[in-house]
Amino acid sequence: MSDQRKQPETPLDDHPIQALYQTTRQELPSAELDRQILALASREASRRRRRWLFPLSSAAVILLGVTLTLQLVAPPELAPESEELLLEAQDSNQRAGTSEIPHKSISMPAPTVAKPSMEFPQDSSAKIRQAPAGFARDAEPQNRQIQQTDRQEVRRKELLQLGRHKKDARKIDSDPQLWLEVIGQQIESGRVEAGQRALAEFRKRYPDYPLPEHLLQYVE
Amino acid sequence: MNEISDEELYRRYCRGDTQAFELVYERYRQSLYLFLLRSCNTRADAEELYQEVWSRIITTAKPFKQGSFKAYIFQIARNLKINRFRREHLRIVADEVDMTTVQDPGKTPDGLLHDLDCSEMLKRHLVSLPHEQSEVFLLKEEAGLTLEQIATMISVGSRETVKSRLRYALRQLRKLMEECL
Repeated sequence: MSDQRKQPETPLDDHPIQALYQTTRQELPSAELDRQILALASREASRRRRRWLFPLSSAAVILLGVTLTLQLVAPPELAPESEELLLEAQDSNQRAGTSEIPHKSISMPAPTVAKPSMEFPQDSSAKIRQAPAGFARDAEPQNRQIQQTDRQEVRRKELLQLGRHKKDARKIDSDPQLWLEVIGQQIESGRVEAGQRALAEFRKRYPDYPLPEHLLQYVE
Repeated sequence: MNEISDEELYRRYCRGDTQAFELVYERYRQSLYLFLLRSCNTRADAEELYQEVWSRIITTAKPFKQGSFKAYIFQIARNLKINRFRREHLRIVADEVDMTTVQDPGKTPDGLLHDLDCSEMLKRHLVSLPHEQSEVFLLKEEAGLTLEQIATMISVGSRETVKSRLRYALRQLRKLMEECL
C-alpha cells in the first residue's frame, strides 16, 4: 500500500485502460431476452391503463347518480302556467307543518320596483324643451302615466316570475299581501278558476285578513 | 422524443406509455447488460439478473420525484447482484482464471491469457479485480455515474473513497495489461 502511495497519481480520465475498455463493449443482450422484457413491459402497461378504468367509470356513475337525484329532488323551474302546482306546494308546506313559519318573522326582501325601461328618445325630450310652456305642462302628466303603467307591468312580471318557482311558495305563504297580489294577477291574466281556489285557500289561512274590493266578488 | 429525459420517459411509462419504455430500454440495454456481464460469473447468470432487473423496474414502476433514473436502475442491478451472490455463495471470479494469480501486481498474466487479444484480457482481468474496485470501475465506465453518485450508491459516503478505489483499479489493470498499452 505504501508503494502505491509513492507512485505518481493515476489520472481518472483519459486513462489508456478506459480507452481499451471501450473497445470491449460489443456484447448485447439476445433478441429473445429483449422480446421477453418488452412483452412484459407491454403487458404491465396495459394493466396499468386498465387500472384507471374502473375508478374512473365508478366516479362517472356516482356523479351521474348524484346529479339525477338532485334533479329529481329539486326541479329547478315549473312551467309558467302551473300556478296550481304552486298551490299544491303551499298545501304540502302546510301538511308538513311549515304553517308555523308565517307566524315567525321572516324578512322578506322589499319588492323592488324596477326602473322604467322606457325612456323618451333624446330628440323628443329636446322637442319638449323647445315646445311652448302649455305643451310641456300637458306632456308632464302623460309622461308620469306612462311611467306608472310601466311600473305596474314590471310588478306584474315580478309576481308572475315569483309564481314560477316552487321554492317561492313559502315566501308567498308567509306574506298575505304578496299572496293576494299573486291571486289578483292570476285572475287578471284570465285564470279565474285557479285564482278562486287560491283565494279560498287564502281565506282558510287568513280568515280575518281584509280582502281588496276587486277580489271580493271571487270569494265563493 | 429522443431529447426527453430518462426520468420523463419513465414517468410516462408509469402512466402506461409502452413507447416511452421502449426508448428508455434502448438507452440502457447495452450498458446494463455489460455491467452485469462483467460483474457476474457466467453469461447465464448475467442474463438472468438482467431480466430480473428489468422485471423489477417494470412491475414496481413508481415515478420518483428526485434522483436520476440511471442511478436508480444501476442501484437495482447492484442490489440484486449482491443478493444473488450472498444467496448462492458465489465468488466474483472468472471461471478459468485464478484470482490470486491475476491480482498480484508483481506477476505478468499467466500463459492462458497470452493467447487472448487485449480486449479479452482486459475483461478477464477486470473480473479478477477485488470486487470493490471492479464495481467502481464498472459503475463509472458502464453506467457513466459520477463519483458522488457512486459514493451514494455503494454507501461509502465519501467521494474520495470512490476515487481511490477507482485509481487502484486503473493502476492494477495497467500493470496487468502492460503489453497491450
